Amino acid sequence: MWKATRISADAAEKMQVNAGLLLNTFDVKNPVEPQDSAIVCETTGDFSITCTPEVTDFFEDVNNAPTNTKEGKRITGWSCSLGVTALSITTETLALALGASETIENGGLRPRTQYTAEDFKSLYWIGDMIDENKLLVVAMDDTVSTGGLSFTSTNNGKGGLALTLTPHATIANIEKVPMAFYILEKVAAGA
Amino acid sequence: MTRDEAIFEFWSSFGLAAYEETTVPSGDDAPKLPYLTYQGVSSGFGTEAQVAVSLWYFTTSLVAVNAKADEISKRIGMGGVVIPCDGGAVWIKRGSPFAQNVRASNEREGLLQKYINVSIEFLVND
Repeated sequence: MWKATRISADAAEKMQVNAGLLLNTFDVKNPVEPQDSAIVCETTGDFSITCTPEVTDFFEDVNNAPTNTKEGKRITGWSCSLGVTALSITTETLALALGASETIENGGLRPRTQYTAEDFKSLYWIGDMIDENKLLVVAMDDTVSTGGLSFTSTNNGKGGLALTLTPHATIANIEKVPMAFYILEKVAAGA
Repeated sequence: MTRDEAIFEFWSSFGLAAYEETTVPSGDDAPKLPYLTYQGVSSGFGTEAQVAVSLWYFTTSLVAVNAKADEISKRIGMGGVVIPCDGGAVWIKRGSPFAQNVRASNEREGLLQKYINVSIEFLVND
């Protein structure tokens, strides 16, 4: 008799492997190998990427209406984020973690009390699939750190900077959710 | 190609004769050095096995055996290498430590064993 305990013939091909890279630039129309300069930072541990709808129930206060009807479900927005621990400790990654900061004397950084348009950047996470020709890409618009700077040093170990990066919608295009997902065919350099 | 064949082909692709470690001929049929042996391991989907691979060289110099270990390390690469086979693939990853030298035998001066650690994750549908 057949069993439900089985996997599909192409199960392995659809799996994503390894931690991937956080990039400050990537062309989803031409997914070639990124240059070193595109890599935001070296990382440790997992990347955690979430994209969660914020929903309301339009019928929740309607007498006799059951909760969680599909007709009553409304999306009021999307809450997206990327979390990872950075091992690269540079002025750029410190500024990224702070979100809003200004350069001060001796190349230092001080948090600012207001965001500027320049604080919001496009960022990309890319990761390999088991099928070595394929790539998973998460594109994030207008991304800024909302977790602030959280740095931990450790005896006989490497210091780590916890990053919580949040892409943002814009009132210039309120329908556009600031995170997109792609599974792309890699393009060889020079192709 | 079965998973065992895929693993054998992988270890045979480094310019050395490769033997599953229980199948190395002995006596007059013993292979000429250098050669490679590996633990034959098989497992189910999603399981990962630690595997020992050995490079056997007759030498007092580490140059050639270190170069061969480097070649294997580079081929496996960061994040490992995925080898397709019937039903899916096997994913070979560097172990830790990756390679270490072992003095193989006091009876045969100059016999050197380079012990290499890898892990193999089986992504095979059965």
